[in-house]
Amino acid sequence: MTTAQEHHHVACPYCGFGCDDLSIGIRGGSVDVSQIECPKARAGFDVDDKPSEPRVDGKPVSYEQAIDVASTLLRKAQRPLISGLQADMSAVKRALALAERTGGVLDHSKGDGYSVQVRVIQEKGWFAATRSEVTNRSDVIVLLGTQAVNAAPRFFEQSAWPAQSFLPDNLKNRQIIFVGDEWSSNLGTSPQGKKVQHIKVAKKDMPLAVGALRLLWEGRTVPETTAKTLPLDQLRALTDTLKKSLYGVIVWETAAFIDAYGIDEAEVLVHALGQMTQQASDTHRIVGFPLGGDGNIVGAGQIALWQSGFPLRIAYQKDGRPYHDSRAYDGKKLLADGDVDALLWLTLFDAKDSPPACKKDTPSIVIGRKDLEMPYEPSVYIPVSIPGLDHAGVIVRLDNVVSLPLKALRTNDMPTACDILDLLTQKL
Amino acid sequence: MIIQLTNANIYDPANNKVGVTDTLYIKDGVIADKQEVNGTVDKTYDLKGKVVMAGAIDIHSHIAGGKNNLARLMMPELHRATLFPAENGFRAGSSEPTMTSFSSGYRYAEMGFTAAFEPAMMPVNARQTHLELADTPIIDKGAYIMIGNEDYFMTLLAQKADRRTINDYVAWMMDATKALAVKVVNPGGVNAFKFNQRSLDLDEHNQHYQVTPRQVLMTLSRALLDLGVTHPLHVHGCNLGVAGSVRSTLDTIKGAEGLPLHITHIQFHAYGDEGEKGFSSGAAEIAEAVNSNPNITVDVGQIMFGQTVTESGDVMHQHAASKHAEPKKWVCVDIECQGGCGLVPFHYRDKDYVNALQWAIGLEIFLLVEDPWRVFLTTDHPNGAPFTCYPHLMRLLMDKSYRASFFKHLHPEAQRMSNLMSITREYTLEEIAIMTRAGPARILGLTSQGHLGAGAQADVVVYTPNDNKETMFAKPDYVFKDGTLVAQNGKVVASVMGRHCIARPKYDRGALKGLETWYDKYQGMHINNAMVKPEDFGDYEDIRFLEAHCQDRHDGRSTS
Repeated sequence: MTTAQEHHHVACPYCGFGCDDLSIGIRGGSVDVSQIECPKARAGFDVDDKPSEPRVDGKPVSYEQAIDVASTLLRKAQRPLISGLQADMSAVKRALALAERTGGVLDHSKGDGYSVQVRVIQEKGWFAATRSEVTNRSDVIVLLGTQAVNAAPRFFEQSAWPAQSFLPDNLKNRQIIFVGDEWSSNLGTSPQGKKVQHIKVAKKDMPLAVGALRLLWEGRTVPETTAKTLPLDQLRALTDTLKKSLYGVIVWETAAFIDAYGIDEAEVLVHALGQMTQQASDTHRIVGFPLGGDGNIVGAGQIALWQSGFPLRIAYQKDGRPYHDSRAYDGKKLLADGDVDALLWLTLFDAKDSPPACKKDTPSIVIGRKDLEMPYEPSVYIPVSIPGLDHAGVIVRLDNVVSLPLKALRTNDMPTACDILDLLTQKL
Repeated sequence: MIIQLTNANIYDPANNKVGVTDTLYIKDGVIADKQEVNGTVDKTYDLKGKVVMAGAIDIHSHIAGGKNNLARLMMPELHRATLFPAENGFRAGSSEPTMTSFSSGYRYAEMGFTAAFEPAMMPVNARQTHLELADTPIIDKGAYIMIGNEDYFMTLLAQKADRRTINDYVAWMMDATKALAVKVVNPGGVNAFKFNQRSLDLDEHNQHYQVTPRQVLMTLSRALLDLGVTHPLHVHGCNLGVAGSVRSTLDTIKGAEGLPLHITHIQFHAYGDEGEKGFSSGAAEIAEAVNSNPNITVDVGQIMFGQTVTESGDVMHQHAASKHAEPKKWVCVDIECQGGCGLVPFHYRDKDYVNALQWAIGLEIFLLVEDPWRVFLTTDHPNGAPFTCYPHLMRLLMDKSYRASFFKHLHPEAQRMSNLMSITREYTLEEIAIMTRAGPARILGLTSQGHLGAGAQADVVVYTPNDNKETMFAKPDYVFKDGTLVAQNGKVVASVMGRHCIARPKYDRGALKGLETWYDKYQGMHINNAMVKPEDFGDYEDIRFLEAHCQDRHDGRSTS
């Protein structure tokens, strides 16, 4: 068992948290995943370098043939959906240009959570912070309805209980408080044995708890009917803790809110949290830290913003003008309802980021990893190499500002998504 | 490829050629001497009666980066109102004020601007900023790295780190982020705000690090001088937008002790607190201080009336300004122990006393600063106004009766508090050519730009003279970028890709152990991943770098 190559300080694109400290050993073209502790990273890097064949209607074809068929399908489409978009920045740039060129609709597979946050910013805004501010500065971290690890498996190790901070007292005095339903007892315990405090609030009562926290911050009375169902004393104590904090962080996970309460209620919640950070900032330093950002959705959103002026969920008109509506241009829904007439699904990171269901007569083109799980055979499937493994690229982390360089860890003869998208564009 | 421009009435102050009629030769994208041109002329333009200048350069314009995107995200209503289609191979998008990257390139080129510089790049945002600049066509571009509030830098100052260590850090930062210059925003104040300080005057102490803004300013300014970087420290001072800010700005100028400083959007830092409303013009004092301190250059940051979104790395003062947000929404972010950003939409109104006076203060500064080599045309796009209003602004500077026609509509109290109407100066074509071409190129160290001498990039703009200077400057007859005709009669006709302008002072990589440890321990990122490298972009981005002039380092450090 010899390791041919060892790469250090490798950035990982398999969740939005964006760690860059992985050591990756490559042996015979495959990653030695036994070295990787993070489950998301292990799953993502676990793919060999053997070539794979494109398919048209399930039959193996050459890349040229696959691109030919794909371009014909796109040319015929009046309104294709270009989505998935879990790709490095250069590939996303090309997908976006293609959407503009074809009068397509642009979305991302994680578009629901993103669109909620977009609306909150467009409505009112917030005061947020990035990862290393949380890691170094916070002395109080409130996890609101999220255990953090589903979104960011290394949250506790990396940010909550780092080995050191340049503000050692803030780290030493740090309290982590979970407000929510179930907490498995040892989760999030610090290396020194400090436990996460748990304020138990039933899942259904979380929206009430958020409302109560806002009232308590303002020093107002919580209505009796609400108070009855909540651990009000503990929430009051939490408010006092935040008011005494030097740098308080409110962590939430918009996608988890959507799963728990539906999209509208999730929006109300995120809106409330955003306003809470704004209001608190009048006198205190309290910031928000929303978890999420998988599949480079933040980076994809950044490109959409600088190229079109709008965040994701854009319907390009035939003349290329971008119309943005974060509710109306929900790709999955348009596809299910038959409101788009072709699908181009681009996905390079999560092998489980399968193309969504479409109507029987809607043609589908998938440009993706060769190990992509496919719930149905698409009209055209074009396997491509993987950024951060087979070739270099850039992604943007969950906190909107920080980009990470993805390295080529091995060589691979498969074409990149950029190669395919360039050829496809030329054929249109 | 050889192009000749005959009978050109040339305004090229960098080469002391003003109002001279001559023939210009362009050979393979570069201005050439007549004797170098020995092949067949491929194309001749007879420019009889036309005014010819080098391409204009915008020294301070927020055209790229994360905060620009947040501004776009926050204000879809502005973008919906300014959609434009894809035509003739040009990309679609949306326009003012926080226009798309393509739109920035096209609109600049159409006005005869061939370079623009993003002045507030966060270190952690550098890679993304360059990716966005790579989508900004036609113009040359670049960015100033925003430092002076990082916890690492504050720690260096608190520990009284030696001069060479600091210089190595500054040079590394410029190289790591592919920056052209260094900017500081609210020196030390953005950091202090993270410790909940709500203001920080020039000689006040950051409570945690016990460092003052003055120390930050002097340290960085000296570092750039030591490193041989051409552009002096680009300073967004203390007290942005604060009534009475003129005092700290004057103190900054006087306290520079001869060290070069470029004070940016100085209009926003030129407010007195006199009069009934406690808000007055400090323009005269500012201009006097600039006039008598040749080490100081400024750009103005003129405001224009209308809706915009302000975006700044000065979280402290953007947060304070959020009370005036219109519409009522705002975003602030603390960023990676390096700085932050704040986005606040604003609607400037001529019937609002403060806004009206801001407008007048900007023009007063332009007109009272005597040396056009030391004052630059900016609106701090989009903070004061979108850059597309430059032709209008030029007319305001060149035409005093035009100025008066706007002045009389201002809030009456603002009219009484401004001496603008007593200033008779009108900018000349030569002065415009200096402040928008020769001056910016010189102060940025861009030796092949801003002039029309042999060897310069063939960035050439041809105007039809007009008494209405707005018309003249809004729609040049021809704009050439590196010899390619890119715009005609104020419309883009071809898209080319410009360069990313950078400066690369030398540093001793081996002397950066402290920084390396800091990244390992606290930054959540390895130092190598913090560096922007061409290979990061794979083979799919059109990024070419152009190095600005840098002198040798002269602090005694031997560098490899």
